[in-house]
Amino acid sequence: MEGRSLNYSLRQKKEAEDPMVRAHQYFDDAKPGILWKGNDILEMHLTNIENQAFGWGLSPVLIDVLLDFALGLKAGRATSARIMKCLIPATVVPENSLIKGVSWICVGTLPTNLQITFFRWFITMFDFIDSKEHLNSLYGILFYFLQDENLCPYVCNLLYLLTTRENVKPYRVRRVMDLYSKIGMQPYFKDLLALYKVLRPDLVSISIPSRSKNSFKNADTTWKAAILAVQKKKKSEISLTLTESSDLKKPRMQLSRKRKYNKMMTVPPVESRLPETTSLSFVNLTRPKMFPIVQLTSFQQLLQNIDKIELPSQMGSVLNSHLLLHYINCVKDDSVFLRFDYWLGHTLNEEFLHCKYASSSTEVQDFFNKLITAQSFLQEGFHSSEMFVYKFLQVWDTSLYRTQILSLLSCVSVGQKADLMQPLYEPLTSLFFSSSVYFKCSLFDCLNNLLVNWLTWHSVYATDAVDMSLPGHSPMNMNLSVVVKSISELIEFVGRIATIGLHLEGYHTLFLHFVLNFYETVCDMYLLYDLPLVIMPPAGVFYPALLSMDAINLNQLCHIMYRYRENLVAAKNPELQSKRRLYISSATYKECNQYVVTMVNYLWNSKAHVSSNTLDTGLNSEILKKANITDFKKRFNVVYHPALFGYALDFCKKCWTNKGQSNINSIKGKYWDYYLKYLYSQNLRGLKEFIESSVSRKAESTSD
Amino acid sequence: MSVLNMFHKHPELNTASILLVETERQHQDKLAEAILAAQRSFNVNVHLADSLPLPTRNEANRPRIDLVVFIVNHFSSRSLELTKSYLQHLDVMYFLGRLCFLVNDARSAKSDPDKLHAVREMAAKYSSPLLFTELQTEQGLATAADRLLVFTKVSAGFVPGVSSLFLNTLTSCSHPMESSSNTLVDTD
Amino acid sequence: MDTMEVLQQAKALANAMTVYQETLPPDLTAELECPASAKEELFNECEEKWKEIEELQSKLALIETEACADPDLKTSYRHKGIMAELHHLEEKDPDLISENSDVLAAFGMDELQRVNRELEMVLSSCQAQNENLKKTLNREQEWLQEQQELGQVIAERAAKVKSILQDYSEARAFQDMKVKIQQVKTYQEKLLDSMGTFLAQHFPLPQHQNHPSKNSKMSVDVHENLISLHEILETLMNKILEMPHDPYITIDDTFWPPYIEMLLRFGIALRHPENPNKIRMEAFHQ
Repeated sequence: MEGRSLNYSLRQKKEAEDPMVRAHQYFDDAKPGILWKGNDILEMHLTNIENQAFGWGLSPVLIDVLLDFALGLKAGRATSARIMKCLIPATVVPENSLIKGVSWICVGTLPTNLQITFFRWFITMFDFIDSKEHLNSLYGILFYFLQDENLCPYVCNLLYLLTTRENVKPYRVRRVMDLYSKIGMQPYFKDLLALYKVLRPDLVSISIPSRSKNSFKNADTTWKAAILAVQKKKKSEISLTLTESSDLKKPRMQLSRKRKYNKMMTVPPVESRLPETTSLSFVNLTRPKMFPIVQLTSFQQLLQNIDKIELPSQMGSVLNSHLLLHYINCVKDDSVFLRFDYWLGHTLNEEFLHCKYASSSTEVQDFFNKLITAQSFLQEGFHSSEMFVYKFLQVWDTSLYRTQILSLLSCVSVGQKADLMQPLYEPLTSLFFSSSVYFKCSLFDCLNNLLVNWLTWHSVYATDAVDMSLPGHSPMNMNLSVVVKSISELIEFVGRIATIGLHLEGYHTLFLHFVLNFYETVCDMYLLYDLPLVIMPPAGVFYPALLSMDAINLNQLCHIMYRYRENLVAAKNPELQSKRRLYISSATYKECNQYVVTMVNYLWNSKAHVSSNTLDTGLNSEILKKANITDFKKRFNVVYHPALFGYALDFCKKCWTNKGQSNINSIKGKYWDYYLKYLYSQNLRGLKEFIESSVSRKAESTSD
Repeated sequence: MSVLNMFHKHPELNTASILLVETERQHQDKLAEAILAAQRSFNVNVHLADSLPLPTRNEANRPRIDLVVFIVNHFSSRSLELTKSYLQHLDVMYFLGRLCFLVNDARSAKSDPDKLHAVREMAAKYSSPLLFTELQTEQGLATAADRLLVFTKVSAGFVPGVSSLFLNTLTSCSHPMESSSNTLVDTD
Repeated sequence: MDTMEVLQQAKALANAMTVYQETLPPDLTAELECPASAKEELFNECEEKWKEIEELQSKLALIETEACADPDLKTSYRHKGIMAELHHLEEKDPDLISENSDVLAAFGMDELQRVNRELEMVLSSCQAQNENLKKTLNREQEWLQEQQELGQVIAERAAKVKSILQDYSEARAFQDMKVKIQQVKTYQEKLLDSMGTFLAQHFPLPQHQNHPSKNSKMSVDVHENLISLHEILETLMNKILEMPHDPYITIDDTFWPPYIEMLLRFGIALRHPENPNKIRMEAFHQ
């Protein structure tokens, strides 16, 4: 029973194929001028073709023959239109048939609607074309059809799919601009120009609003629906096999089309720019043999071929390849960074700031991480990434991709004009004060990194030995005064928000720690980074640190004051350290002196300055008396300070283990010295530095 | 015209009250839950409403509202208009730092920059902070709750030495034309 | 994280803990005993403060509320509020929470506990920072090494090229250039040849009519000396390459009009904006 059914289906299949074979023969041998009215044979073949097409799809050979037949108008316009409607591929569409189709259009005998149908079919079947090697050569011919008003939208769409970097020529850009000025800025022009701009930003000078969406009508539903039906029936995913055939020659256009559908925020893979040509072409004559970058896998290869590396066609792919980053670091080409910047800005805007489909967060994080690594490798920020950060800060909720955004923020460059940071400070202020203490700490960490980056950049590029006229990514003509102004603005801004932030958070230890980290960078600007600037911390940071209840912050404060002292002493005699001369106002010296004197008074001399005037530190002697605190002047020295008191107790326990009671008051005289040594041994190095530098044991008074 | 008064009720011990006003009632519930789940050192009452003035029948039971939050749906201009009309029912004391605006999902492609600009202008006109949130994710909810609690803590007076007006001067939204966003236009 | 790693980390933690175990302070909460009298005093103080608040509250409740219809009103209130606060801050004296030393001791314990918690956060954040710094250091060292190698290689290449340049005699440069020019010339000839064949095959000159046509409307204006399309194109190309400032050629009778129309229509040639008799080739090379 089963055997019979098997034979039966086989026979049915044979019969089904037969009509196709016969139809193939018929259309192949057809001569032009066939009458369609009343032509039964033609009708039969057409019906067979239609059945096959909407059921299982047509084979490539058949499509070839049919397209030829239809566009050759061998049986009149109506038949041709009918045939075009049922050209559903079973597997692929052969490239040759499309070339033939284009040549039929060039003959000029086709009616407009048939031309339009052909182009629409071309666009819909674009993903199913088996190879696109020769299609690109037709670019110029297709470009001509832009002038036909009816065909213009479709041709624009087609060109959008086909364009590679080599196709963007000045005269073509001029042509499109001419058309646009005649017809007006249609959305399809906008998209084509936007693509031209991405590929060759130097040729397209008008600005395309980056929010323009891909406005091409995405699918011709009749064909698409039929294709889907066919695919479902066959249960084979045609599109998958095509896109998975990832050989190295896959043209970029296919990838970019896929990317538009998926709207993924990914870095494109590395691809060669130059097509592989074997014939004697002009290209091979004039350029030396380039090393194809798709084969660049190891560092050794990079070293060997360093002078023959070509740049990739899609600039964004350098983010993927560490070797290419090395190469870009060495190359002295402006256009490299221009292209990269443009691609980066485009991606960040389209795919992130205004995304319709949310890219998965791992993808986005990946992308940001790669960007951050690239920026830290090249040791400078990209302009588009800075613009993106500024824009994003205005709509940020402080938790989305926090680490990545803060890292990007810390890569911002110093800027040509000092007031470029102003649009940054405003949103930062409101975000800072409205968020939790942990965000405040993270932001301070980020600002600290930002300052370190600026200072490092300055110390490298500001030396006279470096040629400031290096083109490309190094900002030229960076004035020392601009740098100094920007940095001092940053430090003042940080000082202000630190003061208020500390007050708001109740002098949270973690936050104070981060604030002091920042000032640790600031105090050494002159000696470490050769920046002629010394800025003291505000009182709102100094006094809370001095009166803090933990030893870590106190220790750090001591270290910072020690470094300030060193910097100011060196500033007096710059020649001794071969640093540049700087002018520091006497107000700064006064402030520093005041701080040092206060500290020494508190910590050493047991003369904690407490007055009835509460504006100094808020310590009022009457209040302290009310609280039954006797002898409050020595309550902040190294023995009784709340932060160091624990150490004193420990010391007492260790020192007088014999006696039952440890008496703190007996830490004086030689025990004072022992106590100090004990403190130093507990890793309180800052305290040690400060005391050794600012306190002279001989005289009772301080020295500075 | 009934007005939500600031000082007509007594404050409560160690308790603060927030009022979330949203015309479309999309995110209120989730946000309220997140606020109640957040880590804090004081009690919080969250009241939900979809319009002002508040119904008078609950007047007696309602505690003093320390912070009023307007959740504005910036995809529709109707929401903005309605919010502006609700503002008429607030005591002027609320505008001294006890009011804030909240906008969700400003990042999506559906958002119209003009409408966003309009919301910003409104926030700047009333010198109130404008918070951007991503209430679709858990993390975003938790962060938004934390930020609202910062404002609540100060409004209820739990932070010594800091008044709501003080915080307001630091966090209020600046007028969009003043902020030099014009210089941020892409140069390419 | 596999179990071995977890075990190792637990071991490390245990080791670390034994190191500082004896220096850990005793738990503070166990020792917190506040005498009842202190508590009562504190309670009374709170009651007094609450009474004050109620008095102020009743005063405030009497104030008429104003709905804010007008931002200017709000601005004036803001101004008043800020000035009042500033004044208050200047006048205010700091004061103790309470005068009872037991209460103050209890507050002190509280503070110490808080500082303890925050210090633990500081510890973990410092540890994380250390990890990051180590990773960054390693990464930077790698990069530095790579860049140094790269620098070396480039310097070598540069030296090599320089030496080649020095050795590069004029004669050899001349020879190389000649070869290149020869290659390019061959290529150009090839291209021109194939273009010529293509044009001759598909765009021939119209044949001279040998017999007079009956239909006088079909007067083919055929001149004897029409130049071929190939020649037209060559003239245009030469003109634009040799004289870029004046790339126009004048159309005369030797140019067959249909071909001119074709060139213009397909954008290969452009008309002079003022003089319809002059055409030039589109600048494909720019």
